[in-house]
Amino acid sequence: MDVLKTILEYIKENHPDAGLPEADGICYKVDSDSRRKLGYSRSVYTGGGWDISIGRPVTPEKVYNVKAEYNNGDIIWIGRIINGKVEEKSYENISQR
Amino acid sequence: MRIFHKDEVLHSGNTRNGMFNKIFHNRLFSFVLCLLFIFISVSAMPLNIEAASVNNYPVMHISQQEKALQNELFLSAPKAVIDRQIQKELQSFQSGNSFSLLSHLYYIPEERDQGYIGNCWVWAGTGCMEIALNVQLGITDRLSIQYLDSLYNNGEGDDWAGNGGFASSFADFYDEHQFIISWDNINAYYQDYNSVDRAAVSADNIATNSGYLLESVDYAQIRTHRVGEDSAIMAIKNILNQNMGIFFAFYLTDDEDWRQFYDFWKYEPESSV
Repeated sequence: MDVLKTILEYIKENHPDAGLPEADGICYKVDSDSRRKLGYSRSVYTGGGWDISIGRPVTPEKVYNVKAEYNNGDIIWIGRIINGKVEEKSYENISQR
Repeated sequence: MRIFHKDEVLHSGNTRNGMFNKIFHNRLFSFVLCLLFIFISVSAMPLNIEAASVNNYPVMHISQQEKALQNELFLSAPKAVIDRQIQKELQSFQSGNSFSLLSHLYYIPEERDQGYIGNCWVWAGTGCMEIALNVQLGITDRLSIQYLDSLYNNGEGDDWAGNGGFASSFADFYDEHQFIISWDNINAYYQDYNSVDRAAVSADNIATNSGYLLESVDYAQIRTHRVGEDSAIMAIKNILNQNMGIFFAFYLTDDEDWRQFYDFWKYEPESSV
């Protein structure tokens, strides 16, 4: 399972108004604010005005916490992948797109 | 140590200072959290999306910067005190002897389940506190995990308790907070099993009718690397024989290593250990 691709496909399918870029337009960036802590790690991907944060708590179940944010909060998608299944927690779009 | 009662309701808000002024002189409970790291790590370079696609698990890599930070945190901790008398006794023990602190805990393993969030550090630290409570006061009581979850960084944001922490974070929190509450308080039972980005309950909604005042909470390191295996084992045994719990932490490089770890513990027979 590719977590980033799974999330991109989910948001594109369920929220076409978000206008997410294609996967190859998003690059991994070093998360200067991220400190890998005991029990959790996080990676941030960025591109086209989007920051997509993928957090991985160390749990027996394969869990990824995701926050996708466009233009510093104009669009925010928050959700989780548990064992490959996407669970959306919230979606807000206050942008004009 | 002071046990709160229902007629001394202590909430985390603005009543706290008044309560502490009233009972500050009764604080007796000091506690040492011992810290043990087995550190396994590799470096990771930034990668682009194509590389991430080849690697099915794009997180759980550790950078040199992160490794350096964690080493600094660990190595800057004071060293655990080795009891010389216990050391002599341990050296004379025959192999096959055993020692356990489990009797100091209310311990039903299936009830100690963090769920889907990364707050293992709170569970480990709280377990050490429960041992200290029993050793120092003879009281067996489950202590609240939820209380710290809800209070630590206001229970939300990138650095809420469910997004990981350190033994030092735990010790510093309680050293500053100076009391810990029982699991049995209203809303103090664990509710973050399924939380995503914040605590499931506000600290304002957790009753603090019963709990324990803390005189101090410290942590110390047990060196297990760059020492011989026998010395490392002896140091761990020494601390356990001082009736102190050990906060054990280890790191793996990526999800593949974690998969192997889980496969081993889920599917291998006990004889494999």
